[in-house]
Amino acid sequence: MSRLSIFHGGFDRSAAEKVAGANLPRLSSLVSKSLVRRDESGHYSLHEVIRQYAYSHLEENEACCRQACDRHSAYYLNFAAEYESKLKSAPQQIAMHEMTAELDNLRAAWDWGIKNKKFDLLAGSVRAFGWYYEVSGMIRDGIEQLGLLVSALNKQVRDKQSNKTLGTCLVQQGLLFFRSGQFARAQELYDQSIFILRSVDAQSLLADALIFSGTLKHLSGDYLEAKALIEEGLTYARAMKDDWFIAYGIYNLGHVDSLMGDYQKGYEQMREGLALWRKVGDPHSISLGLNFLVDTQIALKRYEEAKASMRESIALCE
Amino acid sequence: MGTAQRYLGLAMLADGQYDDARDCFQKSLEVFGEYFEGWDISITLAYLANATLLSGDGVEAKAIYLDSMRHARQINSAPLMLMNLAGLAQLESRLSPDLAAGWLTLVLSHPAATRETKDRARQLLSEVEKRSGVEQIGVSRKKMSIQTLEELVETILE
Repeated sequence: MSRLSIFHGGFDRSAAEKVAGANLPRLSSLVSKSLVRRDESGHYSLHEVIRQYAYSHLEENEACCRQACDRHSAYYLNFAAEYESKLKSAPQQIAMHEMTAELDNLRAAWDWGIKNKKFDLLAGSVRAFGWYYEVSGMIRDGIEQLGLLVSALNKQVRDKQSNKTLGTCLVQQGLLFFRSGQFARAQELYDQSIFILRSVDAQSLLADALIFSGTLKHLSGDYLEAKALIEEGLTYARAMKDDWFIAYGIYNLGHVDSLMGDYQKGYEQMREGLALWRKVGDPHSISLGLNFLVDTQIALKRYEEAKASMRESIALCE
Repeated sequence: MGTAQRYLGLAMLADGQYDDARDCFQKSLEVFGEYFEGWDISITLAYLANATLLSGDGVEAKAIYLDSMRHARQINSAPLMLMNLAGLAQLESRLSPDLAAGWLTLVLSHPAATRETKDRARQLLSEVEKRSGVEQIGVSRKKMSIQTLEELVETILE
């Protein structure tokens, strides 16, 4: 019972078993005694007063409490890591809601991992957390949470693996600063990330940093540098066969070509990127792709197509 | 949603539906106002200013261009400052053709101006030159060629 108090905002059957060692008969017994509640969806929770009481018992045994927190953190950080691909594909909205339902546990796991330097576990979940905050629109929360890991890693003597984690975290945080319109801060983080990831030759992670940085550069008017960064990132994305980033790279090269006046070439590349996003099934990126295509459609006098694109995009947002 | 509303407005604007376009830009700003700052606000304001200008309200359009310019300056976005400068030049082109010509010259010579902004500036400059005579506005264009975009924006927003 006391180990169940480690959960924040409830838990499901699998988590109860793996984190607290509470199997179904044990859970059923606690439910029948009204110590644990079970809702229609199968989600369990403890009344807050009972949870606090149980937790005070758990805290009496420091080693046991620590072990429970370690298990909880490992479980939810692995849980988050499994959501990265879902957040970038067709089940995106379901994945986002499932993560939101576990947000209290996820945050507690993230905090515990940082405070206890579980950097290997955190490394696997950074992109999923970053993407969750992006897709859910929780930009400020995301900046703050990722910032905790950045600060912790900056205080460490870092090896190759922790440099990769820091580089990845800076990219994700940079993306959220970018989304919130804080371009200078975003660029600063992308630059740091590219420097760190180059220093450890992490080509697979550099794709994110280079493509996002290129996207930001073109909004500031550095079109040629933007293209160079995106092209390099695209090479790494292709080497990894990462369709999502290949789409992002091709699409943004097209956007830059279009801004520079080569509307037809830009249009074709943006459509190619959009087609790849449709193949991956990511509604968030399909919507963004449809949005930024409109300038080019107008330049090519494709007015009806532009309006149809926007109706589709708005429907995807609703 | 904010971005989608902005680009739906742009499609409406291109199709001559100015009032519908303004509604879309306003909706976009309402969404962005809650969550975002900087680039999204600035570009949406610039499009709203274009729609307002095309609807015939020059005074309101000018205020919106200046507001957009302030946001663009905050994030140091040269393409957006140039986009707004072209819009302001259009407003100035009747009363102060030499001033407008100077601004348009700067837009045309700046590497961060998008093709769309340059096309607009080129067309406007050609109209200004036709109306005022190339020689008369030559001095202003020459003077503007030694001023940076950032200096000019500071002056305009003072």
